[in-house]
Amino acid sequence: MDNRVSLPDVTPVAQAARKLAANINRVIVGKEEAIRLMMVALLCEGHVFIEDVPGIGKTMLARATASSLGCTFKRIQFTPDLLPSDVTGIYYFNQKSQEFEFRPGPIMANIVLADEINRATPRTQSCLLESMQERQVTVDVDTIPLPRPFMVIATQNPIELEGTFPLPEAQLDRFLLKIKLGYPSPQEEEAILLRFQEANPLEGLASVITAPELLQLQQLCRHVHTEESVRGYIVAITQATRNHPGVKLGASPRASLGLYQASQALAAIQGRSYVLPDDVKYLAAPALAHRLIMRTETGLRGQSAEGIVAEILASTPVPVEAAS
Amino acid sequence: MKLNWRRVLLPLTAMGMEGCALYTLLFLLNERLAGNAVPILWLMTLYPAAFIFNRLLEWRPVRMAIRLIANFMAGVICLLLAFKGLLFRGMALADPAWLTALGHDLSSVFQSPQAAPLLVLLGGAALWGAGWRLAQLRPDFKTAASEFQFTLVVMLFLLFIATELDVALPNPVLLATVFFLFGLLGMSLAHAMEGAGWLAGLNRGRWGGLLLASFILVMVIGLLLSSLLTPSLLHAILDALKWVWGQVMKALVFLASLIPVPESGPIEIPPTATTSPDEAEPFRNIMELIPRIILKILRVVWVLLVIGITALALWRVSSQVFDWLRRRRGATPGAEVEPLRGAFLADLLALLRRIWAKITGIKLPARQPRAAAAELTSVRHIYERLLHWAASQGWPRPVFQTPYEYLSLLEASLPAAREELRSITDYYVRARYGQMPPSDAEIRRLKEEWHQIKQKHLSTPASKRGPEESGGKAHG
Repeated sequence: MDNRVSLPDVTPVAQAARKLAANINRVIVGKEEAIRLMMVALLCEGHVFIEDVPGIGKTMLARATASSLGCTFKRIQFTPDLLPSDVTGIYYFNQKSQEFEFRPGPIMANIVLADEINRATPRTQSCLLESMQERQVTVDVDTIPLPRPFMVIATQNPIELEGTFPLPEAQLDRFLLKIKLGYPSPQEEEAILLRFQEANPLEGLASVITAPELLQLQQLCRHVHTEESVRGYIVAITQATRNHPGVKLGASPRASLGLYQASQALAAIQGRSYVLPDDVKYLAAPALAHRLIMRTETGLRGQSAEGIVAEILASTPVPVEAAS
Repeated sequence: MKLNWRRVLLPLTAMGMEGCALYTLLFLLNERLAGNAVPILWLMTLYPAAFIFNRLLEWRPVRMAIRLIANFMAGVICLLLAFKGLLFRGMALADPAWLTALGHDLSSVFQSPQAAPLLVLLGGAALWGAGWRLAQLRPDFKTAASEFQFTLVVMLFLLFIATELDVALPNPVLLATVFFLFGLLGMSLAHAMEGAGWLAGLNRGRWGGLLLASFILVMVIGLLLSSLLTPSLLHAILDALKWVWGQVMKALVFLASLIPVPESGPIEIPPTATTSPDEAEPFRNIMELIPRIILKILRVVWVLLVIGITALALWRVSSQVFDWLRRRRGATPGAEVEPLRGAFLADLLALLRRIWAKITGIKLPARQPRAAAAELTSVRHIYERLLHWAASQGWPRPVFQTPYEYLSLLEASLPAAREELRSITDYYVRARYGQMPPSDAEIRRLKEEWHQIKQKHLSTPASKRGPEESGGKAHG
């Protein structure tokens, strides 16, 4: 059944993306690429992993995104003493009513900011697995669905490793995109100083999209046309990560599905009703690199996961007419 | 005028391959028919002469008719000189006696054929024609590969004939080595120039190393293959082929026995050398075990199968011929040929519908043409031609580049046609990845833009073109 969207159908997606980007830009200076990737994740209902040094604006980006959406927002500061029940919620005995009652944890929100996620113990980190993949939590014997849309934005500091626990592969695989912000340029930094001179612009940030609107846009993105050969290109890239000599464990089928959906969302953001190989190439590193498990010798040679993805892209044929 | 190495090196390798085949053919004819009277190597010089002459003609933009006439005149003069040089060596060039003798010889060629003049006449004409054809070849990998395949078959056939006729070729090992050297070198060079293949991928931009590696590889493979191609091996292959043919004949005799025969009298199958009555006995026993009704059904099924396979084979052959004819037409300069995929099937179905309607009087509904699909194909075909043309100009698309990534390279190489290149790329991308067909007017505009690109390229001086071309190096 061909239920692909047409060009007018994706126009609301592109308009909403522009509105959202403009709103986030009232707080975040520059970082167009990071904001674009954030919107891609939003439209795919995927989770985002932001990794960068402190003070770059990771938490600010997450909070600005959440504030721009008319959704519920909760922040969890991950610490070594955080327990799974602190995240998911618990059943407690209400002495007044003489019954066990459920007290929902901060996970019960549309947008959840898991700040410095690697500071929590693996046990607490693992409690996010079910919620991230199946969008539900199981407390005692009850399974409670999470509100939709549901998105986890996790941050991590790659420099300070003392007292931290590396994220398990299963958890990394559940993040749709990994975003790196990087330092601002001198002009951008000057603009930040001016913008934050009087008050925090985050405080006056209004929402521009509501939760039902976002759900509708997500549905539209699912129907962006992806030509057969472009699908083959996505699969070829994912397969190549599994066969690369520098990689111990390549990208999973979940990764190729993520890349596929992210490409659809990026095409819709750009006002296109079809996916281009350029979309796939653009998103390959943010969608795949964090899922690759490198061999020790690869790391010793100074080769990064992003470098390997770039190498794969430079050797995978793009589906284009042959010059016969 | 800037020298395009692709247009020089690739035809040279093709010339090497074809030269080996033509030399073998002429040597065989000379040995068996003309009593070794014609110096073949001298006659062979007509081949490169025709190629060089036609390439020189391309340097000046002249009309096709003038070019053909010039080519014909030059061919006649060269043939006359060949006659003079090869058959009337003792006479001076200004001596009219050799011309008189030549006239006599030529007239006698048609009355009572003499082998040596006939060989010079036909061989020389064939060599000139081959040189002309070589000058028209498209210098790409596809051509190099098909040239190699075709010439390899011809070479094997000629070597086989030489073995059967007991003609001792002078230095066959060297001949085979040279053939494979040119063939494989041509293909690897074409592959590397188009920026494809593992060799180009590993050594992108290192032309010296690439050439050396190809040369060594080709030499080793050529030597191995030529050392293997001995007369005893050829005899062994021939014996094996005869055995296989015998088995095929046995199977055919068995299958023929299954075809129902008229009740009036069975058609006797002529005995073959490979089938004896004793060998056919087991088949007959098997046939007796099968019930008569099943046998009848099997025979009907078998007849239908044979008819079906025959029809399928005819279908494939006619489809290939049809496609070839269209491609030949498309190779004519300035001609516009739409790819018309599925046209043959549509025509055939229409014919069958008409026949059915005539016989039964019932009109079957015609299949609706897929207009959108034809338009999509048309855009893709224009882009395909753009890719081919750009590759021949020294800007091949690396396999890992998307159309828009490649567009930036093309725009840098041909800034004058920036708008046209972008327009064609935009429409191609929409058609290819979005399945969004352009309108008829848009297709017409695209075709105009495609011609404008070529015109702008021709009218732009080499110094004003982009850095890619003025560097004279393929994009890596």
